[in-house]
Amino acid sequence: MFSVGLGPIADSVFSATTMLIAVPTGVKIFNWLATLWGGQIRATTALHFAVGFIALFTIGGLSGVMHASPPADLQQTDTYFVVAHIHYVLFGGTVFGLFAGMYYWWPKMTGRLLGEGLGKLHFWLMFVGMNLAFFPMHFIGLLGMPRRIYTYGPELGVAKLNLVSTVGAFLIAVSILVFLVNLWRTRTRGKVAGNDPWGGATLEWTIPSPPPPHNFDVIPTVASRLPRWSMTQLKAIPEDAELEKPHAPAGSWWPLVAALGLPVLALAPLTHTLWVAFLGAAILITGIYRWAFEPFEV
Amino acid sequence: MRESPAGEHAHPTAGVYLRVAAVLVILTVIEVGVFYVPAFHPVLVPTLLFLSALKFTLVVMFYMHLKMDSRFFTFLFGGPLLLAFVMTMGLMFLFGAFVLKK
Amino acid sequence: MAHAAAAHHTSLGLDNRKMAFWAFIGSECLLFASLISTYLIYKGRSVVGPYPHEILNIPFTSVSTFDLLMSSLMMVLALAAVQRGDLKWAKVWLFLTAVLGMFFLAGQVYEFTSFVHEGLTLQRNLFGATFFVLTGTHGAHVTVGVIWLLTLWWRALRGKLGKGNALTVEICGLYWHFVDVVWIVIFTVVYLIQ
Repeated sequence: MFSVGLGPIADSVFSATTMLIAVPTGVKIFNWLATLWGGQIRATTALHFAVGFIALFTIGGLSGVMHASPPADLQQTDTYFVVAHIHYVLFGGTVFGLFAGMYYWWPKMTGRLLGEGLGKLHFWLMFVGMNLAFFPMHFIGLLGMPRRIYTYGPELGVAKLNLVSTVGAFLIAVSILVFLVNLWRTRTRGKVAGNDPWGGATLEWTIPSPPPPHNFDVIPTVASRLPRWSMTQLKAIPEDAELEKPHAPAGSWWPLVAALGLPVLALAPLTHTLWVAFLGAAILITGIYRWAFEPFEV
Repeated sequence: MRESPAGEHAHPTAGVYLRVAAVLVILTVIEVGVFYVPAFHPVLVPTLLFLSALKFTLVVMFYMHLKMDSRFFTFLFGGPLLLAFVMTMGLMFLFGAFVLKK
Repeated sequence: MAHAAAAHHTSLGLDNRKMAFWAFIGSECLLFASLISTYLIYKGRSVVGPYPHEILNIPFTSVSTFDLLMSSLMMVLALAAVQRGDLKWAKVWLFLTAVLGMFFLAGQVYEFTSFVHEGLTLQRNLFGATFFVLTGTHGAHVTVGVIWLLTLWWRALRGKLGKGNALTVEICGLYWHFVDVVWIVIFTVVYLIQ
């Protein structure tokens, strides 16, 4: 954006605000480190991904701050340097975070734990692959390889680094395959999770895995930051307590049907076919009606 | 059967609704009248904006019951409405709608 | 919609469905504001005709406006009927609201086709593009509203509407009045202020 000719005032505003983002981000990084500090660290797969997330996200943030400076960005913009930055924050950041969450909450959602051996293999393959794929992009970007164009002349001198990236990309693909194998095997051979496989500090670990539709039989009163660990202070529910019956609708497929009607409807103008619009509208309306008139409680 | 929880006061009568409808029709007639009467053209825009704002307010306050309902609903609607208005004005300024053309 | 239970206890004391709907209407304000802004920004900048002053039919559109205003009156009378448990009049007013809505839509269809005949299409000029997107989106909203009203009318015919679920009619009313209010703005800004 700094290269489109906005002028010095607009450039300064965007530069300043971009640099400011680094402040709360930095606070978060220290939050996460402080969360780990002094804790009883167990090297589970989820933790591997979480720590990996912190490191890779920080690296992505560093190249992001480099983009905040208009003169520096003038060189970096629209090159593979940007691709390196975004993939460190999006892949190293968000995706690693997502996998950490997946390994952590899979047992709660499905009742079975994902395999730790395959999980760690997934992590290391993905970690190495990710860095091999995206770190060289910082260099090829600064050497002048433009974004969104995958071809380049040999005189640019980026061929070897591109090859390294390709190897990294394939490693990432293999790591995903490992993850999928893990998913498949855990359906039948995964360790049964029970309520609390991790010794968790929060309340989701007090209910069965997978949880009943209404989650909690009685809505708990939370009095501390680590309510599960201070459970000893929770009084038992008295016999004659007025329990408000859990009031939650059961799951339903109809919202999904309604949602699927929309892309079908959207296909009509894309393909210049009118009847597709009617089909999409019909699916959408059917989904909405069946959803609206579904019985509320199971 | 319980009525909806607190937040609603007594409903207006049908008479109120009919009177609001009458006012709305009159305002619309005035709007169209102002449009056709050349004498009003210097003040056309502010007059029309004022009249339509009146209609808007009447429908929202009475037909949508906002006047009698909890103020929280006014906030839920008024906030975005204000934002929308500011955004429209801002965009119009940005794209030169208020520049005097020679 | 089919709960026998009345609204649950909420921390603000307000029905959560009504609150959700007002929040939705707030967001719809911004949707229509962006379309109206786009229309206003490009006003007077079409390179070729047809231009607004040549093609917009004020008398015809005034009738449409009147039609929608009356439909809002019918809607609010329908709600009043449901709230006092008068199913017979609820059916009448709900049906009439829907009918007036359909008249409005018929008027829009007529207007759009006559504009296209006179050469104003979405692709013709800035006026065509911004006008059709704005009024077309509004018309789509009216269509959804008519379907909603007819659904409620159908439920009333089967005896499923009463004091206990008056809220469903109220929320439909909020939607319908909002669509009317948007038309008030469009009528003023597009048709009357040229």
